[in-house]
Amino acid sequence: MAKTKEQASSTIDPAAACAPEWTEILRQMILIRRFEEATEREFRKGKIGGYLHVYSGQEAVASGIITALTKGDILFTGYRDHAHALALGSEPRRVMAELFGKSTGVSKGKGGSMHLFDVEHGFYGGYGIVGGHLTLAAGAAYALRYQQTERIAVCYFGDGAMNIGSFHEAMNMAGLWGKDGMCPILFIIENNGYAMGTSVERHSALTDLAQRVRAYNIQTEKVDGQDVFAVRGVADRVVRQMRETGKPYCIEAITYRFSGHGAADILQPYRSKDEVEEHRHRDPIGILRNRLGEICGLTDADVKSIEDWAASEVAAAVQFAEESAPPEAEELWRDIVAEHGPVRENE
Amino acid sequence: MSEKSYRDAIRDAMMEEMDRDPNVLIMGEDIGVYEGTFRITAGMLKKYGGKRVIDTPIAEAGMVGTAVGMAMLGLRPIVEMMTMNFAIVAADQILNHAAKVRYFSGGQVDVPVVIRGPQGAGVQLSAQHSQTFESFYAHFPGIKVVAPATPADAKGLLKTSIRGRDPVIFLESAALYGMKGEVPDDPNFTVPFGVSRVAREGSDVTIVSYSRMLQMSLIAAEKLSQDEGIECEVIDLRTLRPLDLEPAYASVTKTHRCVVVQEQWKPFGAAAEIAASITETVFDELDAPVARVTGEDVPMPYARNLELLATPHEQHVIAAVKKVMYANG
Amino acid sequence: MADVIMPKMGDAMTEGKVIRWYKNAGDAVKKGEPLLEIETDKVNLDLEAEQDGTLGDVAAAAGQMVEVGGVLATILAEGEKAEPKRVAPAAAPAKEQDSKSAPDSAPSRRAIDKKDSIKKSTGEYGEAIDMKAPRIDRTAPAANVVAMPQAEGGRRRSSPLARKMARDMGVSLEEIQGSGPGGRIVASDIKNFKPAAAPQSQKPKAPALPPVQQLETKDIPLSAMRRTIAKRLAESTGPIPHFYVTAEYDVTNLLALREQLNEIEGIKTSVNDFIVRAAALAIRHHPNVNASWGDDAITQHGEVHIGIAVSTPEGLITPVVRNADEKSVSDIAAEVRSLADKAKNRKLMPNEYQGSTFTISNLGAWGIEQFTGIINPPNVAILAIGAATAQPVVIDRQVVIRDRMKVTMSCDHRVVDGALGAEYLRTLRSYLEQPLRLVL
Repeated sequence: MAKTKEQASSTIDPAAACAPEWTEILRQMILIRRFEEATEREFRKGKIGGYLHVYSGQEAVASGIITALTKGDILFTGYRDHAHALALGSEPRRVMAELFGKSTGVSKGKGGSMHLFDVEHGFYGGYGIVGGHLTLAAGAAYALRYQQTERIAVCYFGDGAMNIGSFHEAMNMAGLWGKDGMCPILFIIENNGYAMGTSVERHSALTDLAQRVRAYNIQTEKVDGQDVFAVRGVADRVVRQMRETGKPYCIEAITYRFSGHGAADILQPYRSKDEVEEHRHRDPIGILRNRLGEICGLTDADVKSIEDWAASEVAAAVQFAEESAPPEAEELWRDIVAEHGPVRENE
Repeated sequence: MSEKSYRDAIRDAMMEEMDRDPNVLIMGEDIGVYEGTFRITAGMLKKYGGKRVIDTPIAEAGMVGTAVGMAMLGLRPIVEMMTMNFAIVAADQILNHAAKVRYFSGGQVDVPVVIRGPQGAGVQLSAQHSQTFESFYAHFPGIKVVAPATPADAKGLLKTSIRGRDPVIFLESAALYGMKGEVPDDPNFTVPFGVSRVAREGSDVTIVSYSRMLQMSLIAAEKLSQDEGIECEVIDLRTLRPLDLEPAYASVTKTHRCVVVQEQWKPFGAAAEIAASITETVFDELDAPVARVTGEDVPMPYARNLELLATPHEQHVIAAVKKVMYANG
Repeated sequence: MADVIMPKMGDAMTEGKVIRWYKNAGDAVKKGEPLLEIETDKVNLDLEAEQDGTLGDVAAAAGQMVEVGGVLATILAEGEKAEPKRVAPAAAPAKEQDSKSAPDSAPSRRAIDKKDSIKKSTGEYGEAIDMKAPRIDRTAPAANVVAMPQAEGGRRRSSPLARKMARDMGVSLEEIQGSGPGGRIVASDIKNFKPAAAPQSQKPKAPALPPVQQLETKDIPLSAMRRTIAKRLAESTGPIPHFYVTAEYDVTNLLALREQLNEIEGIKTSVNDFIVRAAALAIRHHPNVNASWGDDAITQHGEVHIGIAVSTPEGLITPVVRNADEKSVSDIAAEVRSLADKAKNRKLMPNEYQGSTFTISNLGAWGIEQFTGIINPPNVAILAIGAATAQPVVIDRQVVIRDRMKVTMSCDHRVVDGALGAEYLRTLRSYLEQPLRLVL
């Protein structure tokens, strides 16, 4: 794993640390973890098709940033996208229904795990081509400024997305437009150490990933992605700054995924069991929970009630997905284009 | 009506729409200060400023991808490709993103982006700069493909493209930029997608084409009329997706013979699609197999004589018409 | 109690194989302890217990293929009892499998049957189709086409248009020399074709049928000429200006066919049932005989409902065989019998005797050889069918005995002109004299 010495670490102000919001963040992270575990179970049962990429281990990166956003901000990410949807406020049952390929899914059962989409909550999509969505997000950020708003765009991507052309094109255009205050986009590198099965050391000529972004005249910062206090602390400051400047910013969150790359990544020959075990000691949920216990007196009973709540939410989501109807056959032909020709004058 | 060139008709369409709707903007390589390699965007930077006339880096994927993002947020970007050959660099952004995001989001976003630029052979630009792409793009659901043959259609179809809610590949024939024709002045003049037109009436053979090949087919039709007394009915498709073949079916029902003309390579091309549809739909009306006139199946060579050999000409159309007429010659 | 299931380990995995059990039913197991080894299309791996407890039923023996999601075993928590045995939804027919067989007794291994997986995939596709996607079938059905009499002596090359024209003109392609490439017969060859002056003494060819037309309900506005014809004819002969055309048909083959059909158990047909079907099929070629006169328009009917004159003690009534062109001879037979019985017992409901679009009256059973029917308004034609009688006929300069039957068509001249009546009877001939067309 990359060195974490230069990362921002959280300085704890007990009054702030014990604000009720932190319990909410803990609830959110536990919900995401239980949700992801359920998706793995349902995949094994054959209820979920296609590819399945779960987020377990990286929860602090989603929750730490997204809870710092306000309504109107928008988000793009890659295909490991369940957590972002849940953190933005998508209903767990509609997310699960999407994974089950049901009409009640957030994308009407037409996107699946890789293409969650919930515009109402600012979620402009999970995308399946590595790096492809970075340019979209940069353009969206331009639009937000063009429309003279203070909204910002957030774009998540993994360390593996940093070697493809669209990454460089998006970074350069964001840096360029940022000079005129026209590109308020927050890039989040979810550096979990691996591009699928190829480690950062083996896929990137320069392993200081943030430095590569600085080459495009974009300010960067590294943060311990397992510590939600640290992530949120940086996010609060950066988001405020970006609303004023309209310039891009990049946070490299050092994190780790506990599950395989995808549900089919069983053997994981690229990393040892010991390595995974070692990282489990830095479980972001455990870190937050211990801190709330030590400083704010969160009890085991409090945690159990959160766990029970999360379990019942997830069970209800699975049941809802199971019982929902598959899409109508007519859905096959809908949403291909907005207007079928001949197009008539309608203005 | 005033007489305008194809080039000016395109510029007029964009400027009228930019005047009408502040969400319309244009981006591309050297379209602002340089005013465009084909000078389509001359004067636009001065009039609309740098936020609406954006000079981009040489980065087609970035250019198209950002435009798609803008479109998803409610802007109406026009992306000018210096030539459509370069748009291939942005194929992922066009085919995997622009064409798909409405569908996999279950209809949650519009993607009103227009990707336009010149294409086609004829001025010794050799293999990388002489291609045409309508078959390539028209293969994919989720995008619209437009190929105007006249200045009026260039203007009317481009305005429809900009006002629509879907991604449009707007293919201009570089060879037609200087062509002049009558263009309506009404700022609300538009030409709908998916409505083919009869460009010339005739009773003996139906010729189906679009863009520059449509103009070439009309010249061939005149020669056939004068020299051979053969009257061709010429159908201009205007848009390949959506594709309106009804006038072609009606015409073949009358003439019983059909020639399809395209500039690009024969295998798996637009002409193959059109010929197959005609055979499926009006099989019993055919008195001869549908003939195709296409470019040679080779990369475009540089040498003038070889380039001429690689592209279709009037005499190819004339020969194909005679062939389906069972006339020797 | 928790199920141990066959897990899906990859996006393309549909089933997996049990290689060996490390634990037997009744053994205590700990969370994380390996229970069994499975083999998937990609890897072999151990499945671990997900909780502490006792291994209950083992539902899948070593060697068995199990579908993804299928239960392999259960783990009982402390104090739980095993439920009655459940059987894994095995990819192999699991019923015969002896679930008690020792884990290593290598039960018959079943190769994955490709046909099975194809069936399975069409099964799912079938379900999707059942949802009646409106556009799954995107090729419009071709217009009804009458089968062309197959040309003898091999295939002749011809353009689709030439074939259509030949069909319409009743010309056989065999007689035509093609001028197109490879001898292809093209439209101009048909246009320029002049039939040989005297028909040779070949066997007469089956006459080609005029094209079938699309039946649809529509109004044909009255033209000035049509109004004048109607007015003049009505003035001369009363409200419906009748005229009559008669044809004599050779029904020898038809009678033979009927006999053959009636040999099949459960089928009982009369000659009239064949005539009903023939008349209905012939209407498809000439929709204007299936029409009604109105003051502003002639209404062509989109469906063919044949009224059949039945005499009852009270008088004549015409029960209706609806959509007779879509029914088989035996269906028509059964329906006519039932309608006739009801008519005689006065049990016909109004919907059973109203709404005909064409009528047939048959006095053959009374030995009548020829008569004329009076049109049953608002129909515009009626067929009067006489008795089939054996008669000497000259064929190929030989006198032979053939069964002949006379049919007279009464037509409403306001709608049906003489030529149309004659064409209709000619089409009817094709059906009655080549009766296989009626059972195709």
